[in-house]
Amino acid sequence: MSTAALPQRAGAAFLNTILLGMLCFLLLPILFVIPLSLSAGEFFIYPMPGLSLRWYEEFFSNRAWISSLWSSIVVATSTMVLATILGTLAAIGLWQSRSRLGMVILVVLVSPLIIPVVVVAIALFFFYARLGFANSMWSLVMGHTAIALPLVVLTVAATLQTYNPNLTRAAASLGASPVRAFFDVMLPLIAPGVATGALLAFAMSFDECVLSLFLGSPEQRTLPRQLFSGLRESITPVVAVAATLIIVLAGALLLASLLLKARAEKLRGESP
Amino acid sequence: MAAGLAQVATPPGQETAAASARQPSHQGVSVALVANDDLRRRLRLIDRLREAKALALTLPALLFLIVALIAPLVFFMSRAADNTDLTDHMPRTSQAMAGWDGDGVPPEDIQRILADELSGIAGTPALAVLARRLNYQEAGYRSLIQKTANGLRAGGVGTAAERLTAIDARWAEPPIWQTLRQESGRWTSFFMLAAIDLKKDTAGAITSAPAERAIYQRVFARTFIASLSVTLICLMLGYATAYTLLRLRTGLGRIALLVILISLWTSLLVRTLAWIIILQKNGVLNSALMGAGILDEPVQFIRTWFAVILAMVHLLLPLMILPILAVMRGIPPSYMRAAQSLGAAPLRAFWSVYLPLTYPGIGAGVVFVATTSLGFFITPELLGGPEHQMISYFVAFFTNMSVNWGLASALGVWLFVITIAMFAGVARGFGIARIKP
Repeated sequence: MSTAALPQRAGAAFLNTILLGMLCFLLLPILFVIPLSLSAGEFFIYPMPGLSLRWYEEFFSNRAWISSLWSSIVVATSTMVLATILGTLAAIGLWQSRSRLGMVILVVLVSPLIIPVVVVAIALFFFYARLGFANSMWSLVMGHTAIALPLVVLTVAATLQTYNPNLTRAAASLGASPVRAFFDVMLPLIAPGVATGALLAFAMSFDECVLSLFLGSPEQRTLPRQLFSGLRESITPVVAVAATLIIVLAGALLLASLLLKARAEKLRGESP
Repeated sequence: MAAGLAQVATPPGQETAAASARQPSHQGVSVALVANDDLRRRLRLIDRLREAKALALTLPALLFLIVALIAPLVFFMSRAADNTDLTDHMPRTSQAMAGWDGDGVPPEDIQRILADELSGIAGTPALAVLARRLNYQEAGYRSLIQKTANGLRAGGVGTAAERLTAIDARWAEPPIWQTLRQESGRWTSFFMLAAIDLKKDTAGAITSAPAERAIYQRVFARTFIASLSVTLICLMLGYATAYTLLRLRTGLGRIALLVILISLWTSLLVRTLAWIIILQKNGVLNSALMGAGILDEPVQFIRTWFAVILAMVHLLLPLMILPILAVMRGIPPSYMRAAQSLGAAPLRAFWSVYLPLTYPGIGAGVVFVATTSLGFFITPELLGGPEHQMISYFVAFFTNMSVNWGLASALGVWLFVITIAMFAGVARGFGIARIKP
């Protein structure tokens, strides 16, 4: 027994080491970014000559950075609203459908996930340029919504798997109209899934860089677009400030999605 | 079955079930069956109505996607075969060329059409478009076309053939004429072939492009190999990580999962920036290696394959871990115990029981990582040098820098086709699990 257990224990130790290594590999690089935003020096290197908030001042007093932050928020919010409404409706329809056509529609709706982003970006650029609005914010919102749609559809569809359709039937038998049954019964129960889909759509849009290289108004670049030029042209710690803000926002979104997941599990426990 | 019985029971001459239902004078069985049939039809109608209502809910999203993505994609793909730069600017020549047999040099009437049309657009933007388009075909045609158009406009005497040859001797030779004939159609295969270093020779056979112009096959191979390496590395690391994570105590497992989620939710651009901080010449890695006495002077990590692949693995690893983890969670531990109790060694039980059960997760992870890495653009651009750029870079380059939209579209179409083929191949090979976000 002990002779057989020894290689197994060695194997487990080996695997644990790999896991620890992987977790460090995933997390540590991100942690290197944040302190640099507090550097007192001009350069983007360690060791830092001292701590200061000068690059935060620089960020918040620079019009280009502020307007990029603002346009990112506008684009991401519009994308989130549009993708969530369209995606939730579609997911409910697909959930009710039993035909092969429903499967085909699902494949079409999810297909943006595997189309190379550059192809999407350039296709939209050519198309919208011909229609004359490649340089408006709306071209970017439409592109982001197309890519965010599958995330919402899949998230809401996964949540609907746990929804009991008898609840809607019960509401209908008690005299609720389909719309009322949706808002009073179904929506509160699937809300955590819908909200998670909305968060994913927002995060995706807020992070997206390739589409915003080709679409959107040149005066109002999004934050990732501005960060990308910052990285290519002159790297100063102000880039780290932008990156830190993005990390903090992503952290907040992740936290929100985890809370929503916990809430969904609680709801699942309560409903029959 | 019931419908068939009703048919048999219905007396001849009364074809429809509805007709027999209106005359309830025959056998009771028949009436019951007919009513059943009617009910069935009504139920089917209700079912269809329900289905239509359900699908109607998907309509807004579907319409949106058609307008916002599918129509642009179709338009984009059509550009890869579009030849209107030629046919719109020399409509009569293109038409005349299509009727020519392609033997030697075309007759005087065709040459005159060309001469008229060229002198007609001399000095207009149309000439520049035409000259640029023909220059893709053969370097040097840009100046030939512009020189000829301006020369013809200045005047001259003799037949069209004499005037053309007087301006440039190439008009007396077949190649330029054969090129014009080959490209006289509304659609062209030129860009799709050029994007993979092929071209049509004057006889219409497909041959390799000259070596100094042949770069895209290498770029495609490079993109493919990079994507494959990243996928394999992610698969091995991701599988081991997911496998170990499931065996941790709950608390530790939660922390580990949180780390993976943080990585997933952190912006791609920010993570690329992190690797610049670490790998640059006076970056964290060089400082650490020099501090430890391993290196005497800093090593150039940025603009190497090492940097590009390392960062891509880092960016895509969560996409591999999460689907595998989701599938592994659903495998009851009793399966492995059963295999072992039947005498399989732990390794054998893993290979022949556990691993096949995780194929759907592997399939989903491989699809995500492989298709995403094929289209990677930002990370090689920031961490690689010119020799590490993938196909996406060239698609963007021909759109922005050197405006050759035909070639940009053709490269994009090939990238799209390869991605879809890879997706279909992996999906067939492994079967993809229900994707759990």
